[in-house]
Amino acid sequence: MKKTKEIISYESSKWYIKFWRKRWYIYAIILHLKNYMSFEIWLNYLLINDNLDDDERENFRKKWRDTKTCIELTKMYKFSAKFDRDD
Amino acid sequence: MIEKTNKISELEIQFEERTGINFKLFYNNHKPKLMWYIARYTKNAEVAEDHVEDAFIQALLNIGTYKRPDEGGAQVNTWIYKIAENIVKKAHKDKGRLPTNSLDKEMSENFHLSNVIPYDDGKKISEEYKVFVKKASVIKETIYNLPEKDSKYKKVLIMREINGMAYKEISEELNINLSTIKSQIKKGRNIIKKKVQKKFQEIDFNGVDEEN
Repeated sequence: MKKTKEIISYESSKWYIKFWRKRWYIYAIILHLKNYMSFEIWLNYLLINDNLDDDERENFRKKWRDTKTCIELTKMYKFSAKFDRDD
Repeated sequence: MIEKTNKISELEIQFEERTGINFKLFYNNHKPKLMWYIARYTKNAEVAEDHVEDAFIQALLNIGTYKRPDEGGAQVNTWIYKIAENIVKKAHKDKGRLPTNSLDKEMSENFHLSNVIPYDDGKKISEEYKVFVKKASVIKETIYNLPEKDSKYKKVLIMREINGMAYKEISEELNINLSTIKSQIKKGRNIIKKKVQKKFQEIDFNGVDEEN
């Protein structure tokens, strides 16, 4: 029997499906906190000891952007059958 | 001549060699803008996100075909916008032509009135209601089994009668004039009416009780 081609749409109005689509960002946050959230940044975040300069803040934000991009690209490659993965 | 490969690391290196921009940096800089651009067409952030990902994948895989401005081509950002635009156009075209299997649709297919209201005021469900449910399923079946020559009516009837979409929504979805949609639905309903009347005569609705 000839199989009819169909479009698979992952859009949904359900909140839990929307949340499931964004699950990668939870991993990104955990990864970022684990790797870059130093004791000084925690203290600064909790407003106990505000001694971070602008460069450090900017560096922290830049690293977050890098982690986010890395996670997004990994997800993109993982779900595309068109690539040969290196690992 | 660039060697054709599907290896991610090699493709990223080729991209950098060809465009002079690191792929990760390029993705980081252009993803938000591209998302906005695509979302204007799709009116849905999730669909836009999928299309943007497809555009980056296409760009990476087809970097060998990219022509730089000095070779008579365009800037790499113009190129990726064009790729994304073509993906959106293709998806829109396919949406009207091919059946869509979405997560919401699966849920609505499993939805059945008899699952929601099995009892009427604590008593057993009324005979009338059972006949109504049976008739509804016959009508639904008839719509799905419409022959190939009536496919244009089938499409609009599924959208209107089963998915419950408004005329205007169908018109926008299929990119067809509103009055055409109205007349197609009317003609489709007449076809269904004729077919269903025959089926209703054949079906013995008194036997619904035993079936359930």
